[in-house]
Order: sequence, then structure tokens, then C-alpha cells
Amino acid sequence: MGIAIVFVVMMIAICAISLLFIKKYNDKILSTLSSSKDLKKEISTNKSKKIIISKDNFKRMFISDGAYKLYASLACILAGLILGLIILICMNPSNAFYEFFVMLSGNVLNGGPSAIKNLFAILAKTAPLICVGLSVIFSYKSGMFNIGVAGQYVIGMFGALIFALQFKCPWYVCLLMSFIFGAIYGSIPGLLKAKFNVNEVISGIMLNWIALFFVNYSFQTYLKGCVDIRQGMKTYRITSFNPSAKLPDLGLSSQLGSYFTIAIFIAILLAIVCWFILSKTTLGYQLKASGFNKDATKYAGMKEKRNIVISMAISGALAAVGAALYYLADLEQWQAQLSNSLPALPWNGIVVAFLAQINPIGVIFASLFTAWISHGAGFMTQIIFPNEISSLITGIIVYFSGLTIFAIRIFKNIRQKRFNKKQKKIVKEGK
Amino acid sequence: MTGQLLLLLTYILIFAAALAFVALGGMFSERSGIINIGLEGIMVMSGFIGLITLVSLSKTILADSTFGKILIVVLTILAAILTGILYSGLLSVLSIKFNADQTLTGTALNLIATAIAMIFTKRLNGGSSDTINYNGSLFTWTIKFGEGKSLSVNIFLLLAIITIIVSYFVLYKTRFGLRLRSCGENPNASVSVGINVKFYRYFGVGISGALGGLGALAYVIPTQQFWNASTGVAGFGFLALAIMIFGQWKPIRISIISLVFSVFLSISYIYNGLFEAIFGISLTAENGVTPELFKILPFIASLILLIFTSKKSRAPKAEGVPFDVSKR
Repeated sequence: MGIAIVFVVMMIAICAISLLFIKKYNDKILSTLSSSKDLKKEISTNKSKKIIISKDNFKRMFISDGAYKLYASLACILAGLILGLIILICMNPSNAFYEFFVMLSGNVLNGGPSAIKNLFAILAKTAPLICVGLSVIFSYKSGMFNIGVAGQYVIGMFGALIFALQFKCPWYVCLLMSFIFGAIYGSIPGLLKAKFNVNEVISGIMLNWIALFFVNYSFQTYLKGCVDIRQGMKTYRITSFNPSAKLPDLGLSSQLGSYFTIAIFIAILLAIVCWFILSKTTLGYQLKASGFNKDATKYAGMKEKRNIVISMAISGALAAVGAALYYLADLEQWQAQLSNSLPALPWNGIVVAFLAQINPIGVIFASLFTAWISHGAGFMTQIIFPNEISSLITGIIVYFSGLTIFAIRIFKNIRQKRFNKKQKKIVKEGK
Repeated sequence: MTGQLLLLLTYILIFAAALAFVALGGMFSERSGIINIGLEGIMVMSGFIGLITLVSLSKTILADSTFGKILIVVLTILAAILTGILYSGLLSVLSIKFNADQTLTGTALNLIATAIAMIFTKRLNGGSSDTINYNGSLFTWTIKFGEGKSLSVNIFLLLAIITIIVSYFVLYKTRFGLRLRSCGENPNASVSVGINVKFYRYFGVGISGALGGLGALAYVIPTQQFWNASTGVAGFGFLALAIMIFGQWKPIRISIISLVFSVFLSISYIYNGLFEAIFGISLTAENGVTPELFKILPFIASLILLIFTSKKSRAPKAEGVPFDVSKR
């Protein structure tokens, strides 16, 4: 029971923080939406009404566009969790609730001795998720659906690991190389789209499988030095093979657990940079414009083809860095022979991007949530409740996030009606 | 050598049938105006349900009589088709009724299908392994030409040939086909002459679900004796989408291109024995040859072909665009 209360409190706190954040950056939209002439007049003529207006501001915080998006996201999460719980109940009714809260607590909130270790294990998985989420967002803002994020992720892993294991470079070189690998690989669908009008979804899918098979082929033949043949062609552990390539832990790993690296800070920094590029620079403006209306941007004199390639290159680079943050933290080793399917993590990039309503800052929270439940699902009794429950929940969340545009439209309609009523009242009173 | 070639032919026929099913399914969906990225998920889901049906029915009394065996085959296929239709309904409801992003919804279907298949396979196996063992011998017939030379043909090949002919006929020679195509090309014009666009779109996605289900069984049952839920159908649904694009959304072209693609795929499965039998050389990882080298070929070929064909692509004009009557 305690766990549940703590969880609810935490969720509310996260909501409040993100609400404040959204409010801050949606000020412009807000002011255009709600500044009727009457209101402006009131502000200018009657200073004593200031208090009322600030109250209105507080109210408006909950009915802004950003707030609606947040409600929609929370509704998606809620729907996913409820359906997940129902499936758990179907599998085994007596233990379902307990195990469900075990999953939600992620073995952190129950305050056990390993709580801090688990928290940083979650954060270590959050970092790559943020990056792949940003990758999806960056391309989506410019009107492209980057489904090739999985392939770019695999190529990023490849770039990081060959420079770590084959050439024994330090971590920042590996990170940079994976960035470059990803940018080149990501720009391919962009180029194909710009030059040859190839649908980026289809070429992205093809490039995913090409990347997977190419990487597996490479590790089995000419990069044999990187893999341990006795362990089914698994790449060597970076910690023992080339410690300089492991992401630095600032000497804190003895206290915070071996999962702690600077990966999460890099990821958050990237999220802020992405937000800055998208909302404060000319490039970001052009990308968003071409996302809204391709022909109009061309007419306005922007190079829309160049923009497509740039946005896909950045998107690919972000996905690749995500992979580097995962594999250079030595969380897992790549299995060159057994990996017949694409890794699941980059697909979750689509999950977090849409859960965050295509907002670079929101991705941080969405990734934290997704990593949290997927970590927590591992603590359920695996014989009865397999840990894939968490991927089912995230899948359901994506499914419902398809509905959000529809839902937000309904919200807005209701708001518009209320607003119209208010306007009429003001006009009447004025008479 | 003949034996190896016959084995190759066996594989080619298996893959060609499976690819043709799924690609034709994608075609019906896109011709009605809905992009079905979720075909991979539909395949996983209906393959899973089909196999469960097969395994559970094989344990019953039905497996003892000839009639019962036929019944098992029919029920398995029906289960897969039904699952495909129902599961694709998730896509059509969201993208037709609520105008959701079709690519996003399709991706969601893929994620959910893999998760569900994994959860329930693990649950059936008591939490440890994620494979289902089955016996697909009911679906195949082996034609023997002599010692070590045999060709196995399965029921899905027959069904695939029928499907190709029927889908050509339906698409070009019936009123239904004409209306379906018009919904993908110009839904506003279709509405203006009194065609119910949403109905035809539901129908198109439904057909794609049914064919996706058939394709899943055609791929899973004849090739192996066990199915791994985490591998799913190994990108088969995506490959089928590429085939559909080269086929320019035309049934006969799609079937020919599935045959070409299945040659590549089959070689990746049995290249070792084949090359040893024909050229007398063995290809292993030491010589720089792994299965991946052959698996990658159809995808690279697709990409290159896409570059040449996309400029004059004849994609249905309204595909991927949610239909909104109020925007007419």
C-alpha cells in the first residue's frame, strides 16, 4: 500500500513539474489564444483587477495546449497500465495486484538496500531511450517518420564498438565516431527521399535490416577480434577489454552502483540542445515549417530538400549516440550470431516520442517512465508474469497515443464553446 | 546435386507463397488508401494463434482419422485468418474512424503483437523458453523422385495460386475492385458518386489481415518444426511491403517479384549444401561467408530497385491520408 501512495505522489510531482515547464514555453501560444481585446483593455485600464488576472493565469495553466497534451499522455499511460493490470489479473488473479505494484515500484520505491543501485540502473537505461526518442522527434518535426531508428541504432553501436574494441580508442572518440556513423546512415533515407522520392518509411525499414545483417556479418568475419567465439560471438566486455572506452563514472560508481555513468547527463543535455535547435534557431524553424507544409516552405524560398537531409542526419546521429551510451556503459554485449531480430530499445524511441507528444523536454520524463516499468517488470515472478508485460504496456500506450490528436481536438472544441459563452457574457455586461 | 536443387525449389515455393500472400494483403489495404505497416505484427499474431490451434488440436482425437486431419488443417487456417482480420481491425478502427496516424498505429500493432506472443508462449512453457514445437506434416506432401531426391509441396502453394488469380479478378473485373481502387485514388470523388469510402477501407484492411494471417502460416509451418516468439517472422512483413511497392500495387507483378525474392531468401538458408554440391566448395565464416550475406541481398536489391522505380511510382494517390468528409 505504501508503495502505491509513494508512486501516486511521485506521479503528481512529475505532472506538476512538467506542467510548469510546458506553461513556461507555451506562453506565446497562450497569449495569442486567450488575449481577447476586452481582456487587454481591462489590463490597461484597471490596475486593481491584476489579482484576478493572475488567478486567470493559474487557471489557464490547466487549459493550455501543453496541458491538454499532458492530459492526453497521462490518459495513454493510464489506459496502458489498466490494460496491463487486466492481463495480469487474467493470468493469475491472486497475485496480480501485488506483482503490478512490484513492477511500478521498480524495486526503488520499496526502500530496500539496493534502491539506489536500481535507481541508477533505470537511469542508465533511460539515457539511450531519451536519445532514440529525440531522434524520432527530430525527424517527425520536419514531417518525416523515422522508422529507420533501429538501423541507425545498430550502426551507432557498431561505430562505438569497433572504435572501442578494435582500435582501442577512449570513450569520447567512440561517441564521436558513432555520432558520425549514425549521421551518415541516417542521411541515406533523407537523400533517397530528396533525390529519388523514395518513401522514407519503406527505405528506413530496408535500411534497418541491412544494418543488422551487415553488423552481424562484420563481427563474424573481418572484425573477429572484437567478439568472443566461445560465447556465441558475443562482443567482449569493454570494462575488461578496453577500460578507457567505458563512459566515465566520476569515481562515484563505488557508492552509486556499477550502473552509474555520465550517460544520463549527456542524454539530458542532448534533449535541451534539441529543444533549443527546434524552437530557438532558424534551422529549427525551417524544419518545423517544412513539416507543416512542404510546398509552402519551398515557395518561401527555403531549401526543403536540404532540410530533409539535415534533419534525417541529425536524427540518425541521435539514435546512434543512444546506442553508444548504452553499449559504452557496458550494460550489455552485442551477440553477433544470435541477433536475428532488431533490438527492442530503438522501437521504444517511437513509444517515448509519442508519449511525450513530440516534445524534446517531455521525452526525458517519458523515457524515465518507460525505462522504469521495463526495469520493474524484471522483478515480477517470471514463471507467472513474464517481463514482456512492460513492452505490452508500452505498445498499448503507443496505440492509444494515435488517438491523442482526436482527443485533443475534442478538448479544444469544449474549451472553444466555453470561451465563446464567456465572450458573449462580457459583451452583454458591457452593454 | 539434383537433390540440392530440389531442396532449393522446395524452399523457393514455400517463401514465394508466403511472400505473395502478405504482399497481396498489403496491396488490398493500400489500394483502399490505408498504409499497413502493421503487417509484421499481424503475421506474428495470427501465426501464434494458428500454431496454438494446431498444437492443441493435434493432441485431441481428431489427429487419428483422415477426416479429422483435414479438419485440423482447415481449422488452423481459419483460426489464423480470423485472428488476422480481428487484429487488423485494431488498425482500421483507429485510422479510419479516428483519423489516427497510420504509420504510428501500424508500429504499435507490431510492438503489441511481439509482446503478446512472447508473454503467452512463455506462459504456456512455464516461464522459461519462448518456443512452440509443432508438427507441420499435415500441411505438406512429399513427392519422391528417388534416393535423397524429394520435393515437398504444401497446401499454401495451392492457396497462394488461387489467391493470386482471385485477387487479380476481384481487383480489375468486379465492381467491388473498381470501387476499392477509387477509394485509394480519390476518395472525395468516390463519395460524390455515393460510394461508402469508410466501408471499403475497412474491407481493404480486413482482407490484408486475412492474407497476412495466411502468409504467416505459410511461412512458419513448412520451414521449421519450432517457432521462436522473439524472432517472430524475421522481417517478412516488411519485406512483403517492399515487394508490393516493386509490384507497383499490381497482383500479377507482385507474384512474379515474390518469386524472385524468394530465390534470394532460399539461397540464404541452404547456400552451404548447394554450393558444395554444385561447385564443390564449402562456404563458411572462415571464407568470409555467413548466412547474413545472403539475407542482406533482397533488402539491398529492394533499396536499389526502389531508387529506380520511385520517380514514376504509381502509388495509390490517397494512401496514408485520413479521409475526412468535411474537407471535401
